[in-house]
Amino acid sequence: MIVDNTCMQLVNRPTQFDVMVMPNLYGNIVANVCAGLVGGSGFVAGSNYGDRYAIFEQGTRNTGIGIAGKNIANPSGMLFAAANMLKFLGLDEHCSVIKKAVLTTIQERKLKTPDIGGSATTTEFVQSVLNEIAQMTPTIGFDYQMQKRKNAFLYKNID
Amino acid sequence: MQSILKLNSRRVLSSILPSCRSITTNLDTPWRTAYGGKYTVTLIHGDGVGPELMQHVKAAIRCVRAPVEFEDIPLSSNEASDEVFERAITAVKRNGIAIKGNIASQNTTNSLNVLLRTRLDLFANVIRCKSSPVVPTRHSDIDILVIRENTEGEYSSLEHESVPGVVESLKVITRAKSLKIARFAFEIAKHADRKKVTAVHKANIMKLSDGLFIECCREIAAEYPDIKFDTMIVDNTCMQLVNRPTQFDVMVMPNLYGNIVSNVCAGLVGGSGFVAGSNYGDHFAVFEQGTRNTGLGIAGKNIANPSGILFAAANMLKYLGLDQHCSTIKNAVLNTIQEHKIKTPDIGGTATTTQFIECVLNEIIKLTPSIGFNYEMQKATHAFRFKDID
Repeated sequence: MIVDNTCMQLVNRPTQFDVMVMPNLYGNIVANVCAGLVGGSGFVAGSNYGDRYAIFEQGTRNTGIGIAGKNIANPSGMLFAAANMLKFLGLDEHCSVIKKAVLTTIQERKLKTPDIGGSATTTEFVQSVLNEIAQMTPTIGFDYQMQKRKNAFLYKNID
Repeated sequence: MQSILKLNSRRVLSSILPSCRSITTNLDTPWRTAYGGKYTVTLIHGDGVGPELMQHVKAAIRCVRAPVEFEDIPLSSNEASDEVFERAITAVKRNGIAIKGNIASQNTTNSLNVLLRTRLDLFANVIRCKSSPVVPTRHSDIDILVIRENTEGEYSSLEHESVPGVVESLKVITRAKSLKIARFAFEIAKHADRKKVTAVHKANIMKLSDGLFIECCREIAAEYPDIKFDTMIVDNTCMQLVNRPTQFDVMVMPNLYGNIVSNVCAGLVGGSGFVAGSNYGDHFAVFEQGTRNTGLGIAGKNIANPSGILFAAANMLKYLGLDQHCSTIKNAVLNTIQEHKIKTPDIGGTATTTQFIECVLNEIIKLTPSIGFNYEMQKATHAFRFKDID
């Protein structure tokens, strides 16, 4: 699909898209449009994969210079990225706990940072996330296995 | 190869003629010659839904009794010989105004649309995205003017494969054209009483090309202290457009970002059926649908939404100075959707194009007085008239 038509369809009927692959510049633009559709740059985690290495970051690659030091940044994006990293390492349960903790904080505790319309600070948000994690983790911690060595890129643990 | 040489030599000759004309133009001669009291407008049919929509445009303009005659050029991807293309160029140069459908780009040749725009030097593309209460959208209260550089940038059609498997594409940004488009944007903002101009770029990655564009915009912005100017990177712009589009007023940008941003804005206000685009050059103006679709999938099925091309025709009438004719056509289309609730499938209805057009024509007849509108032929001006641009 041509990129201009894609952007228009994304704004009108985004449910028609499933997986999208594209070159670098269009990817930048389309990723930001999609991130805007699901709630903004606070909620999307991006992963960069290579043959040997992987780097995880916020989906929309913002520096947030304007809100630095003010304690109002939305940490969900970075926390999801960290969860993706754990999944990439094979620690699935750890990953799902972090993700559920963040979602529970927003949904049940209704703690929202200003970019999604609330008034909580980052520290309150993270405090609540940590409490949720403590509630969900068994007292002896999770069972996990170290990954076996593999030469191939693990396509299966990618979110 | 031979045809390219022919085109180049004709371009040299035909580019001399307009400049001679403007030097010797008498102030008393009309700006657009109205032979027999009627302006002549070129209609370039294009592909897909183009030909059928052109018939509807003719019907609407005749119904509103505008003093306009049509010259049809059946240029499309089937009839894309050099001869027809040159005929189209000559016709637009002679008449000064055109309404154009989109020509589908075949894979091997350069895009005819791009060639048409560069030959006629239509340096600015203006798309006005205004949310209307008749179309339900997520955000209301949007009124964005997207001004897109139309002739250079990523569309310079310069690509080569230097090594098998490695293709290089050249993006050309020149200081002269960037200054021109920035000046155009600020002049329109001034004449339309707009408060803010946002330049959209990717200068953090393309430091030299987009950096030059931004520098030119800043230079021009310094001459308009009443209008706020800021810059925004294109990815952030697209995200803000989806989240909070009301913060944007006038946006100016190079060619590729303009394509994408104008389609996002068109999607925000109801889709490609509702947005009209205008291409302006120093001497010519070409009006078309805002999102430049051919609509090959829906050609001949009678379900295309003609509102976009009707708004483009209305913009053309306004550009000729026929304001009442313009607003009649626009009001007729909006009444059709709002009061009569006749909607084509792309906005969720079931009407066919012919039903829609019939209703529009009825509305036009209701809104036009029985003796037609009073209008004055345009007085001559040398300058580009920023004031009749929508």
